[in-house]
Amino acid sequence: VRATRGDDEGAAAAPDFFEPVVGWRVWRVVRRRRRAVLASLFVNVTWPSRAALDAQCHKATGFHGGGHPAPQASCVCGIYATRLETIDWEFLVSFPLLLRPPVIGRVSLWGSVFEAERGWRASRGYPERVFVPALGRFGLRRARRMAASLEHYGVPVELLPVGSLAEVVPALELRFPHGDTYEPYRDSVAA
Amino acid sequence: MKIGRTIRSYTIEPLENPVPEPPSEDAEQEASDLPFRQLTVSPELTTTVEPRRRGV
Repeated sequence: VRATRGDDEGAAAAPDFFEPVVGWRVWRVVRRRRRAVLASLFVNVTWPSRAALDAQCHKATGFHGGGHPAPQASCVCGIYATRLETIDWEFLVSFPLLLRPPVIGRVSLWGSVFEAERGWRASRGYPERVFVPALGRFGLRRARRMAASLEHYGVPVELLPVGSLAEVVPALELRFPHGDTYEPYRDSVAA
Repeated sequence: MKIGRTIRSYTIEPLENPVPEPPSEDAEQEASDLPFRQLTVSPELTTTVEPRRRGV
């Protein structure tokens, strides 16, 4: 296993692992061409349906230069995922640009992967499972519509009935007490 | 999302594609045909019903 601290050379002739990392992340839901699509929270990127999302460095057009393959150790670019307990849901729902409540789910990451203390950033990703929070009785119908509109991704989309958005992560922690991430490095060391 | 300091890097090439295959054309065709499917009835199962005369 080639695992180094801050190694910039992500691409190697032979891969280190054959199973993707599975971590958690949060998406916005936006409409594009009359279709509901998942979008990143902090950059203007929508996730394609039935095709992997390829990471790009969005500093490329800024003062930092960029223009390098993503992710890179010296940058913050890449497709992010984290462990369930790391998600600061209350901060995310207070994000001022969110018109609709965000959705949460697991994501598969592969390609060039940088593992950090509390998560990963990678060159390629695709949703593995999506949970749509349904807030009380009135939110249920809206959440059902949203869940149905995301089925084109071809992955399970489930409703998560909660009383408030602050209950989303605790509800998932009850359901997935071990977090249900898949971490190839950790699991290969454990084996 | 703050994930902290990078501690290692590696490459992953999944043996199975994590991206679901698009629905097959056959399945799509079948689904689109469903409301218009032609029902065929075997001739042996058909019978002729004479209209009943009323008021005779």
